[in-house]
Amino acid sequence: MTTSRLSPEAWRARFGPRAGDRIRLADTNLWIRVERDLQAPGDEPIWGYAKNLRVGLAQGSDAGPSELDAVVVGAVVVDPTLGVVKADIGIKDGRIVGIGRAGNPSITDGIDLPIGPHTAPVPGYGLIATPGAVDSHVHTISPPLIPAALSGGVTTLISAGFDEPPAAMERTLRGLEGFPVNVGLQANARSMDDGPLDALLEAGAVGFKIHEDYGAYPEIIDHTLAYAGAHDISVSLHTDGLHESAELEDTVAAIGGRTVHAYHVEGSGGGHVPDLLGLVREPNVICSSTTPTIPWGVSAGDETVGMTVLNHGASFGVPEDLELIRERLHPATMAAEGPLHELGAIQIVNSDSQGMGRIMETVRRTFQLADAMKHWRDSAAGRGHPGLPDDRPVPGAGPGHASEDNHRVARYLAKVTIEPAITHGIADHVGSLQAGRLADIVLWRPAYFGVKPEAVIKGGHLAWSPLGEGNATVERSEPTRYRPEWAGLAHGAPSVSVLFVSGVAHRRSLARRLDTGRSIVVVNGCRGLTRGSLAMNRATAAIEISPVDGRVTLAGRPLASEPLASVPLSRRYFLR
Amino acid sequence: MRLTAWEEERLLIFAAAELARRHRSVGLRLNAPEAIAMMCDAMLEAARAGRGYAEVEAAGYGAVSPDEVIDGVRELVDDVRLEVLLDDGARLIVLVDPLRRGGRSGSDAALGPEPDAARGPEPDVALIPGPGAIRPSPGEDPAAEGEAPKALPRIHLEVRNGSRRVIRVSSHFPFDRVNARLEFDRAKAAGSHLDIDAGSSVRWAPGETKTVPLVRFGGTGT
Repeated sequence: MTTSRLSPEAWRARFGPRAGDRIRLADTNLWIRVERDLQAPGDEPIWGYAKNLRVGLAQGSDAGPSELDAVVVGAVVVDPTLGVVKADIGIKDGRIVGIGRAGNPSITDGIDLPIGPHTAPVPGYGLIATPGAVDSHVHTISPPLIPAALSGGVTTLISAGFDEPPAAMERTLRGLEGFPVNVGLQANARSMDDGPLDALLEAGAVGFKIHEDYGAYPEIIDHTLAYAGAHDISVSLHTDGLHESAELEDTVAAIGGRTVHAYHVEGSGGGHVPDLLGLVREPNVICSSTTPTIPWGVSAGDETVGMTVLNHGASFGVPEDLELIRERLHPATMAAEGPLHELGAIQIVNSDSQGMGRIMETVRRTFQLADAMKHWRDSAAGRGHPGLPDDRPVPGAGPGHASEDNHRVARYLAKVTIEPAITHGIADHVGSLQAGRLADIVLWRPAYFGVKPEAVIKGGHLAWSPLGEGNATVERSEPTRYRPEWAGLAHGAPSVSVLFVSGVAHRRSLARRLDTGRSIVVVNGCRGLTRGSLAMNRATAAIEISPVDGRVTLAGRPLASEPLASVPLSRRYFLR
Repeated sequence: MRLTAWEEERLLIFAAAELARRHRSVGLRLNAPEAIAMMCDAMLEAARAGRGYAEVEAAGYGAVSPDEVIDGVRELVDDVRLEVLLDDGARLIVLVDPLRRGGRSGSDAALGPEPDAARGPEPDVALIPGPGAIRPSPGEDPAAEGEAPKALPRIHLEVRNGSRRVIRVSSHFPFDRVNARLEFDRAKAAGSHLDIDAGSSVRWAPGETKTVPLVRFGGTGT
């Protein structure tokens, strides 16, 4: 080990940020602080001409059983369960061995991630590594959604119903086979008998979606949750916006304290009008928001009528349809949605892709919201509400100043990683960079964090990146475009991706029927969850919500933010 | 036309650059893809006109001035790589920091240490550093550092290059096994390597003598 002879600036130019440094996340006003550096000081592995990642130096010459397949070297790990840590990420057999200190144990003390003759080094110096995002509300309408998902850092898709019948599920899964994403299909629960649900689980459904457009009556909620309880699967819920069979209280009674994932609780995505948001009071209801209203923008209402008409079988030529849809829109609930995320009383952000949402924006909008809520906390409207988390702000630091946002960033990152992973019974496999998880890792340049990834590693292999032209002498010669790496191509992708199913599915016959090269993984631990089971967004909020216009108050005070006129992670990064 | 993918890709650059020119002509400041497309297109056009390597490179550097981009876009462009068809064939050009953000380490240094929070908010929002900026730690924060390096034995050795060629030795090469033409007390160097930063190296000119620091390897030594 060596004490550096370089100036701090020269050291950073080689190895990226040091412990104690703060990094601005892209063009947001979020700053993370590197809490620790787990790398070997002086023995940092670095590959190249005159570098040290060579036989007998930082690379051992023995191929022992603990030799890594790959190592992401020197990235700043940002993970909702591990914090902000400069470290090496060890990968073996497609999964994460751990984050720690990589190198050659023969020449360096404390090596827990041995680099051997078969270990591929992935340079991570100066980059940020996050878990691949888990999008828990994906309508698999059409294949173009997958390149969009990967280009936004999403590596796991939990669909949101409309995937049945079993024959259609088989087509969809066969079509998804060649994409480097993990998949679980939730089928719609459209029956109060077990038989039709059995057939869907046997066909590979990972869980169920209750949707008002097929019926979200109390009887369906009750039956589906009872069925889910017997089969350890998750249930997602879009409630009865018409109040035809149930109002909010009736839905809550039908849920009866059981675990359910409530979709787009702000309401404009559908559900009890206008007070669906009251579900944030129920600890057994895991609540999520979809992308269009996150964060609330000045144009959010303008786009919603057209979006809803086109997604919900309505017609611009039918005045009654338009009246119904306009009644779903409430600025007051949009105003409260961000603050409820800030409180941790909404747990998840997901896209609602191609069915009222944008899958490339799942991560991006989450961090736009984290940024917006940092500003809101500095406003009179955002101060002093009970239950707001303590983010240890720097005294006197206002918006735009370098306070430490590690806790805030972790809370919001959790909404698109570990929280949906726990909710859908897949947290042993995805949602964090802890040991044992699939090596689904998104690398970001700090200036592009949350908006355009530097590389997407899927199951331990590079799968999706902004690649350059094929004739060039170097990588990433312009024009660079997001495209598949080798593991992202049709015959590589299945070996790095899994299919999530319930324990009911007969995995061997399912594999045969789908002719899949994926690992088929059974979800577990879906039932009996409350918000307390989650990593960071565990709050309930005893809000009052007006059944007339959706206005939200907490402890007698309005809970509202203002709509944003502009957002970060946007105009600077996209062509048009 | 028998267009290859290579030519189609250059049309993509042209389309993006044309869009950027239109935006610039109506007074809009450019985003990162527009700025990069303009630089690439300028180089492709200079190459098409038969200019030499240096002129093409200069066309790239001159294509977009920093005040033509949206605030915060300078920091999004670090290097731009493009292969152009010169008269002697395809050649790679790399524009390094074309919008003069100052380079990562340079701009970090320019920021200086974290302002003292107790003094209150910073006076000027314009001083907020750009996207992805690093604010250096104000000092050594032992709690933030990793495990303190174990003190390993260190020595200094005088080493002469007896070769007719330049010899370089990198940080972690076992020093007692370096090129036999480096003359020094090898027994003293057993189990040691140069005490310099990982990935750095030391250079000896022919006949040059240097005193270098060595440090014992850690680890199991197996």
